[in-house]
Amino acid sequence: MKSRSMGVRFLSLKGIALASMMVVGWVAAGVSVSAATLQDVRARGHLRCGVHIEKPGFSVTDSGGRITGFDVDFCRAIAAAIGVEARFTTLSPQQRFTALTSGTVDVLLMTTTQTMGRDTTLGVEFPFINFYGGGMFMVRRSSGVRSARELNGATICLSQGTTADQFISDYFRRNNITYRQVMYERLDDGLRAYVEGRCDVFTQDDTSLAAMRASLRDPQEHVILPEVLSKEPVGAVVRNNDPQFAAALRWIFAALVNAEETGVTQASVAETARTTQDPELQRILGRTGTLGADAGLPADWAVRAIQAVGNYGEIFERHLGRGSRFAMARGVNDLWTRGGLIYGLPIR
Amino acid sequence: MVAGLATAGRRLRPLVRALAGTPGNALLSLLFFVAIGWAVLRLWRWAVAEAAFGTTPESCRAVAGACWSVIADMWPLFLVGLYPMEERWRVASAAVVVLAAALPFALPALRRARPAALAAVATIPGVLLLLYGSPALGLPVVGPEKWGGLLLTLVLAVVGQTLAFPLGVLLALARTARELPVVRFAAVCAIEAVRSLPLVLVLLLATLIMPVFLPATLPLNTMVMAQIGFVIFSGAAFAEIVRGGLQGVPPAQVEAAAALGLRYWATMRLIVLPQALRLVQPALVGSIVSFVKGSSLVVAVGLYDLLGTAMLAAANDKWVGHSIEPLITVGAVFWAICFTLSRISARWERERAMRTTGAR
Amino acid sequence: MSATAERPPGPRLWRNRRVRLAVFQAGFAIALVAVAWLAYRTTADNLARRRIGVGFGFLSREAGFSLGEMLPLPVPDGRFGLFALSLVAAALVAAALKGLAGRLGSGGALAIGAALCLAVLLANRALNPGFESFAPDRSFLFAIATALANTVKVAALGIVLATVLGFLIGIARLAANPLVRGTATVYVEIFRNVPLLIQVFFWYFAVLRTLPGVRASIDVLGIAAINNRGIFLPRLVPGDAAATLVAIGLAAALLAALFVALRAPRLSLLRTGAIVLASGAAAVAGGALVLPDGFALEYPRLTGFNFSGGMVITPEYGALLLGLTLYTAAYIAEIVRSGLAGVGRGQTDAAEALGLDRAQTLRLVILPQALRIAVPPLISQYLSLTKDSSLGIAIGYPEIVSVTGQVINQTGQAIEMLVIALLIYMGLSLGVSAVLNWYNARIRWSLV
Repeated sequence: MKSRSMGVRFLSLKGIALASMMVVGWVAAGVSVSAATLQDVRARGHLRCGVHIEKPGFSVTDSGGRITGFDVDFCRAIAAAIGVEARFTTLSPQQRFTALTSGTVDVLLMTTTQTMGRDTTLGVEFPFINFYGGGMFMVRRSSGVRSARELNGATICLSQGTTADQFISDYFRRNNITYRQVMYERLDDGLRAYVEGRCDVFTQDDTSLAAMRASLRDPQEHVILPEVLSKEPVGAVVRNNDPQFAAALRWIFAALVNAEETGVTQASVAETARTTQDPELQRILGRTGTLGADAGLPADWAVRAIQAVGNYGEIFERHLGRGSRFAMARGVNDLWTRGGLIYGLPIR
Repeated sequence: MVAGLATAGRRLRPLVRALAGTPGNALLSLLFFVAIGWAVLRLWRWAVAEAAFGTTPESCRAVAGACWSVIADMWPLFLVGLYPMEERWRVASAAVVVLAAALPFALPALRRARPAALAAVATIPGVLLLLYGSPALGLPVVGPEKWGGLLLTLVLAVVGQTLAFPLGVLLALARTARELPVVRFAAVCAIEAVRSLPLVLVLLLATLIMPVFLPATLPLNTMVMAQIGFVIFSGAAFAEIVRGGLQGVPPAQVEAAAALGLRYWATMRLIVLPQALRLVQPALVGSIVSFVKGSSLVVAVGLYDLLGTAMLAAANDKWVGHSIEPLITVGAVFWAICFTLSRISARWERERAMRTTGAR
Repeated sequence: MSATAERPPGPRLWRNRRVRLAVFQAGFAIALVAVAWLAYRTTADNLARRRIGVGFGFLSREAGFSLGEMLPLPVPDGRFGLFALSLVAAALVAAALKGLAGRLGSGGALAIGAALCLAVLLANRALNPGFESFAPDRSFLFAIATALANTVKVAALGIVLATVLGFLIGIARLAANPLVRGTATVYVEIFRNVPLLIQVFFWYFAVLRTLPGVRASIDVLGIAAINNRGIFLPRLVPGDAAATLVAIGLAAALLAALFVALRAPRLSLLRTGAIVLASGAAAVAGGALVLPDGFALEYPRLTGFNFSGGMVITPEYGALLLGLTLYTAAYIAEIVRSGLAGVGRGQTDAAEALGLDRAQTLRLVILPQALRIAVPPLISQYLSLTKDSSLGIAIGYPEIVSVTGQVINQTGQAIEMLVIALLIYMGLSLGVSAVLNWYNARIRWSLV
């Protein structure tokens, strides 16, 4: 190929000027990033939540494309409290932190475990924990296994995007027993491989193990071993450069728990807000004081959130508890007054 | 009657000879016949005779064969993914527009008409606008993060190829620019680097690294980033194919163009590229087919294309464990698309071969 | 960057083509550097603002997780040095041999070198000089090396199998029997037009569903077992006399190589390699009769949940290998077919006139010529197969992309890990294509 005069025409002044402008534009654009998430969200008109729609109970989709679940409702509550619409971005577990820190989403609600390493090195912050779970093992009833200690030599199916690989390795090393693992990219494939008999054990860090067991064809054939192998507190994640947004989320969650503590429900909240004589409730529901405005939220932020999805207990029962096919017990996710860990921070 | 039988017998004779000319050949035929028959029978029993065709999980409890109920229940998800229910009419109208624009290509008389091709390309932005929405037009915005299923597969493939093609041509021209060693070196590095990577890794790089070195203010989302990664990957592959075509154009063509006083771009646009692209047309279609197939890898970055929605259907708590049926269904759809593309390409090639020989 | 600064004094210089080309290229280079610098600055800026740590220090940290398949790898300790030295020595011997036998064909030299390296590798493997498997207390770097080994393991065998199957189907595509031809055509059209990921998923779950559970495994003569955890095979374990045996084998291989180099330097690559390896193997087998303590077979035994001992081909490896082989074979079949079609009809007629039978014609006349057409596209198929092995991530095969994802999830060091994966694939691709291009240029005529 002879191309005699290649490039000569590239030398137009216009082209070079355009290129320079583009470069300058990049520099200028690179300088500014807003740390005022609340203002951005309000200007945009919607909150962008990162979700992982492959976790039964926590977030799934139906044939109509609607996304529902426990985590999803917290996103809706946050959006309602700010006074905007909630929009969902589906993310894979591997992508989530990059998506969050690069501004693709405003908040992650995808059963992300809070760990010290993540908190200190990834540039993120965990404003609230909405579910206290633990890594557990599920085995076939026919295997006769009753305790994780009997699993010497077993094969374990798990999926990426969890901290399971680490806690399993820790547990087996601690107890000086051996295992084999098969690590799938997607949760659902791991479960399916376990069902097909590829593994003796299926494990999950994120607490939806019971939900997944319930969704199997014959749940009675599978048992969840009693040992809790790891602590998995999961909740919302935001960028750590915006304390105001993190605080807003922390208190929106607190309002949902306070509502359960005081018996305010989705159905009754509007009525309560109008009629209550309880000074604390008046404060929470925005009748008195300036708590909402101080947090950068509308005065009736709590009312909006509770009206959108109900209080903590209602959300739990709807997606994981008695209102769902999983029928999970509240367990440690019950209110502190009933022996659980869910504690509504004082709103005052 | 007898004569008719005789003719039939004469016609069958070559077939019989081909099937059982020698004892060895006859044995081979028998072996293949039995094997194919057995496979077809088993497939029939699994897929039709013993299969369930309801819409509920209960309908599959008692059957030994396939459970097609999951498809009957979840098919809208396969078509459009998470696209909101009340806006799905927009996808349907977009499909009508696209089909209308593609119609001229089915008629041989219109296929060569440049206006038809231009009109087809021109519908792409309009269709994308219809899908994305615009508050000014009264259409609520449906962000690309909600596009899924077959819709996403097609958008990724069509937009990707439309953008990747010019990129590939530019890269190929840069790589063959003898007098510009710096440009050529940069092009070689870029092409070879991208071509050495698997698409999965390119998609991961695009969605995990691009947001870090681009300014944070750009409106990026996973779908756009994956699309960019896809364009870069396809562009590098196109570049190599186009380069092959450029090398097949005789240098005398360029010299003749120079003698006519044509500048570089005019030479390329009017003389070299038309010949080069015609030379490599089958290879181009071949790589378009592989990109259509490759688009299924966006599953790895949290998007739900046709394959992704098949998995979502199996992840739905109603349908846990029914993964083979959605997998086979979307496999069949992919097959239909890719097979059609390669057939069309083969036909064009035949037609062109006939025209060129006719001209001589 | 401003263009006006570079405006030349007079029209003449500006019109000089060389000057214009040089200026244009300089501008292009400056723009590239500027863009790279800006990307770097933006990245650094973004990372700093988000308080994300950067660096490769994490690679030496304890991984704390396990992997599904863990090939023993050479670990840099004292004995590893020995291993590396012996490889270098083997290469030197091969080079010396080539010099010794003036007319030695390059195929012969390659065969000798390869056979010797393999022999040395096997010897070192048998003597276990610092080969160790990955474990959770090993470093992230070790995990990545294991992943690379897994990728190579599946790609190498996949290339061999896909080539064999592809040639068979390619030849069947041109068979006289319409049933055979039709089946081959349907095969190619199905496997080429369905995404590989779907095929890999399909095979994985089809394999899992078809094979029995551990308790109901298929027993093969009491020495091997097949179930949905994999195919369990006996394994050769070295005894006390292993070193002696391997040395005997090495010596025999060396002698055979010398013999070939001196007496039959024009022998083709495959035959030379076969002779060298066979001599070594025969010597080891003969030695084993005299020295009973050389090698022992370790059989897989059912203990507790799984089979242990022996070696295992996991369903993940098997399904990925199957998927890659069947998919690539369809492409190779097409390459072989067009290669065969590219050999003129006159060649067949001429061969027939010489009195060659059909098989001889195919082997001696058609295939060598078809191969010449087919080798370049074959090389690109081999590269594709290597890259496609990254789909192992979907079915739990711990290859490079899969382990990259796992490490990113553990450490959050996405950029560093993706850069490592990128470099590994570039290295693999460049390596494979360099070797194959060299092979294409040198060995083309002596292959068959």
